[in-house]
Amino acid sequence: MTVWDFSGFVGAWGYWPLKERTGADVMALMDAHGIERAVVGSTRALESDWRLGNSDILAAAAESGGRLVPFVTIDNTQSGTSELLAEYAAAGAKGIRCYPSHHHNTLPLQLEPLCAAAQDHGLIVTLVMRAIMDWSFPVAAVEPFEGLIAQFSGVQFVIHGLNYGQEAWHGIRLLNTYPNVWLETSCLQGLGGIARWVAHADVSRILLGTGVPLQYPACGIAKLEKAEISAADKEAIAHRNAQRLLAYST
Amino acid sequence: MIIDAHVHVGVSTAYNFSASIDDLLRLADDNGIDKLFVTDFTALIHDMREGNDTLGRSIRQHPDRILGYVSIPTMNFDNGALEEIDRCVHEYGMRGIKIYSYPMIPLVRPSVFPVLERAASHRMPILAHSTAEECEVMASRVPEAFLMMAHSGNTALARGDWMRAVQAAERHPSLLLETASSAVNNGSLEYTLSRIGAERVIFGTDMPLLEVSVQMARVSGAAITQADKDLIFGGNMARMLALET
Repeated sequence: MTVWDFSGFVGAWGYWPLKERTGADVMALMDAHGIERAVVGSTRALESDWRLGNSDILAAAAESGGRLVPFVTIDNTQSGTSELLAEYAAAGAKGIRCYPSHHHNTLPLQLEPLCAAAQDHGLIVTLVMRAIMDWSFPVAAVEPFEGLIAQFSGVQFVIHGLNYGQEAWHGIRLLNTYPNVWLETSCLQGLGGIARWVAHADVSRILLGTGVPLQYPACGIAKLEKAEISAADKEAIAHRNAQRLLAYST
Repeated sequence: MIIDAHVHVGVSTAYNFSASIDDLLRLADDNGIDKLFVTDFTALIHDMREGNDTLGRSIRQHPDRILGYVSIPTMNFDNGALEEIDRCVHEYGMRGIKIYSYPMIPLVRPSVFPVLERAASHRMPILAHSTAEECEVMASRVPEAFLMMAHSGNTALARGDWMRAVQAAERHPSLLLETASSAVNNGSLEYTLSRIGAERVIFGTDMPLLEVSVQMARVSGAAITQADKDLIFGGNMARMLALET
């Protein structure tokens, strides 16, 4: 099974000892688990300096032979968003990662300029509800972002980090309501979670995520391999959907 | 031999699960798990005796596959718990005790220590859904008990602080860490083993709440030796319970 991971990271990590810091480290881990390509964001952009983090991630991607697909992060209080995104897109960025719970407890209306610019530049917008499934990390609720998704129908939105329970159902409802919504699986840990999503949502917009290297990649892959869904659906989630989505990006 | 040390049977409307023993055994078979160490949800938060009896009947039906925890609600620690432990040992051969932070009140209270002491006297491990701080108190007061910290701190209750759990285990040789969790932080198992060794890490899935394949992969996919994986998957529990492997 060809695997593309939609929830990778590159960079140092301040929360526990982690061996994989560089793009080369992450690709070695990807190799060990059969991951061909990964969409990656910068841990520095998540935790501290978004500008330096974007430089890091673009540099790592440039040296990866196309295996690392860079998504950038922009402080949502920043002016001149459109110009910045144009620069980042020209430098190879394929999308944006927004961390509402990590960055200012961002309100959806604060992301409107970013989404407008993303629409102009053909960039994917990832709304990260949880960076990883860790009980010590903040979590954002997805429901308040529905208006933003409806408003920017020309933007492809990836909802990152949903787990079980009500948050999963809100995500599925958004996916079924809006054709520009995609869900990724890195934090979905409930029993039979992927099969449940496939039963209730359009499988063509479900994306595999493992959270490499912050989460054990074997876990993210195992839950897809063991999911009680068809082989075609597994292929779609493992890489075909990601290939199609990334083709949206200019 | 793979032993899953953290399994729930029964129905929980609150947690939106329903699983019979047969459901659990199917999951075990699908994932290559040999034995399930089970706690009954009814016993844990509703009716201690009714739930433990239900589980006891399942143990009699599947003696080679099902190990039983005597589930003791917090409010029952000083309300028949010791008698219930003895009863379940003698009637059903239950091998462990489950204590659980529900409702959200501390497990550490004067009445918990006699429960731990009774567990120690029967050589029964205790699976405690608890925090590192609470486990430290319990392990300090009753060091002869085998205390297993459910989820190793990877819960909302314990604020996801698995490194604090490792610190607690470093300080208390009788404290063991159980692996089931939604959190699958890369490197966490390697770090844990570097601090306390593999002999005090116990495999669990929390089925039917969590995806079993993820919990298996957390151990099988970690960068640790096969010998350590074997200890975690079942060797440690088999040793503790003196099971034939």
